[in-house]
Amino acid sequence: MDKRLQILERLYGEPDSEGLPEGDDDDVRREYQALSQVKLWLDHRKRERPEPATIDRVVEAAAAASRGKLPTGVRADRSPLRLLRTTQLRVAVAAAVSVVIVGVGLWRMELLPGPDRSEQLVTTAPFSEEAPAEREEKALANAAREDADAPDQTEVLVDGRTGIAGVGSDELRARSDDEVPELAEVTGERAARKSAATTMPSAMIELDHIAANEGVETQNGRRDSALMIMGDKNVPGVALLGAAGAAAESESSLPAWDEMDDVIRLRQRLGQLQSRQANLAWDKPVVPLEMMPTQSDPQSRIHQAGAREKNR
Amino acid sequence: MHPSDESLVAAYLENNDERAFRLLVERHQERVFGYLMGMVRDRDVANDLFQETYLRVISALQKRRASYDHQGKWLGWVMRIARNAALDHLRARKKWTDVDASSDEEGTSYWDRLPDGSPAVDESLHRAEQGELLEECIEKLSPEQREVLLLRHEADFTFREIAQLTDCSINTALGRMRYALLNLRRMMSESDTSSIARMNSA
Repeated sequence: MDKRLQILERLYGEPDSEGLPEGDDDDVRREYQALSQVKLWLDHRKRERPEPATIDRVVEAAAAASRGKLPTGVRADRSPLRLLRTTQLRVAVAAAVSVVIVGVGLWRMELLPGPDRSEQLVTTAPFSEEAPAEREEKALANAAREDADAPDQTEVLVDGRTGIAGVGSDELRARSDDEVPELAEVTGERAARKSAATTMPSAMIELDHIAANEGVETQNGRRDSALMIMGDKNVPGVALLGAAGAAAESESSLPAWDEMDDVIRLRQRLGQLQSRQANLAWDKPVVPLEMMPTQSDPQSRIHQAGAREKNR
Repeated sequence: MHPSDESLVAAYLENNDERAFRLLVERHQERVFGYLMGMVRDRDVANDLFQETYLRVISALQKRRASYDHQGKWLGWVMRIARNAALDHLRARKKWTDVDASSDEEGTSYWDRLPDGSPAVDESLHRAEQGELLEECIEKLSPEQREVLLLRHEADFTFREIAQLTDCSINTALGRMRYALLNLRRMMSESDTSSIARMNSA
C-alpha cells in the first residue's frame, strides 16, 4: 500500500494499521502532522442531532407498523438509482447484442443456403483438385461428346450416373424402404418433406432426374406403389414424396443447379450456329473519325475539322 | 446492561416493543443524522431524510423482505438506506454526479488536482476551530470526498466499511479521505489568510 495511505490508517487507528512507514522521509512526517491537524479540527466538530419531534414520528410509525398499519407514501428501500440504471442499461445492451447476433446468424443462413451443401450432396464423383469452373467445363464437354454418340441423350446421362442413380425403380423402392422406413408412408406434404430431408442419404439427391422418369412410369402403371425421390429447390437436401401427385410437382421442384440437359442442349445449339456461320464476325472493327474517308459532297455531315475551314 | 442492536430489533419485531425501537433510533441518531446533515447541509431536509430513512427501515422490517438478516450490522444496514435516501435527494436536485469508479481509482477529482502549496496554518488554528468555517469548507469538498469524510467522522465507519458501503476499493476510500483532509487544510488556510488580509487592510 502507498505510504501516504498507510499514514491515514495509522492516523485513524484502523484495525489493520501498522506504524508509520519505516525509512520515512520528512515528507511523510510532514504529511502526517498536517493530516493530524485537520483530523483534530474534525474531531471537535459539534455533533448534530435530529429534532425530537422527528424521532417521535419515527417511533409512532414503528408502533403503527407493528399493529399492521405500514407507513404510507414511503418509497421502499432499494438499491441506489445509479446501480438500478446501470443494471437496466447492461440488460438492454446484452439483449440488443443478442438480437443482432441472432439476426446476423439468420441472415447469413439465408445468404448461404445450400449451394455449397447441395454441391457436396450431388457430387458422387471422386474428389479432384480442379476448380469448380473447370470441373463444370469438363463435365459439359463430356456430356456433349456422349450426347453426340447416343441417340437419346437423357437416357445416356441417366445411365451414366453412378450409385443409386443406376438402379431400377423396384430396387430403388426396396432400398429406400430399407434405409428410411419411416419415410415410406410420407404422402407428399411439404412439411413432411422438409423433415424427411434431414434423414435422407445424401447420394439420393442424384435421383431427382430418375425420380422424374419414375414419376412418369408410375403415372402409366405403378403410381400407387412407387416412391419417388427427388430434390427440392427450396429445401437444401432431398425429400421423399409419395407417387401420387409427384409427377405434377416434379417439374416445378427440379433444382436449378441440376438442369443439365437444358445447358447441354443450349451449348450444342450454340456450337451448331457457330459452325454454320464461321465466316461471320460479330462486328466491324472500330474506326476513328479521322480515318473515315472524306467526301466532297456538301450534304455530307461528316467533315474533318481542317477540311471544314477550307470548304468555307 | 447494554442490549445489542440485534436484540433490540428482535424485541421490536417479536414483541412489538416500541421502546426498543426508540432506543435503537436514539442510539445511532447522531451518526445517521450527522451523515445526512453533512450531505445535504440543510437541517430541515436532513430531518426529512432522517424520517424517510427510518420509515423505509420500518417498512422493510415489517414486510420481512429486508436485506437485513438479523446477523449483520444494524447500523451498516441503516446507513445504506440513509445513503440511498440522501443520494436520491441530491440527484433530484442535481447536486450529485455519479463518477466512474475506474477513473476515480485514486480518488482524484477537481479538488485533488489543485496544487497544495499552502503555508502552515499554525496561527489560524483558533479560527479553524470555529465550526462555521470548517462546515463551509466541508461543503466545498467534492461529493465523494465529503461522503467518505462524513462516514468516517460522523458514522465512525472504518475505511473497509466505507469501501463496502460506497462500492469502491479500500485504497480508493483512503485516497478520497486523504485528499479530503489535504483540501480542507488548504481551504482553511486560504480562508484564514484572506481574513487576516482583510483585518490588516481595515
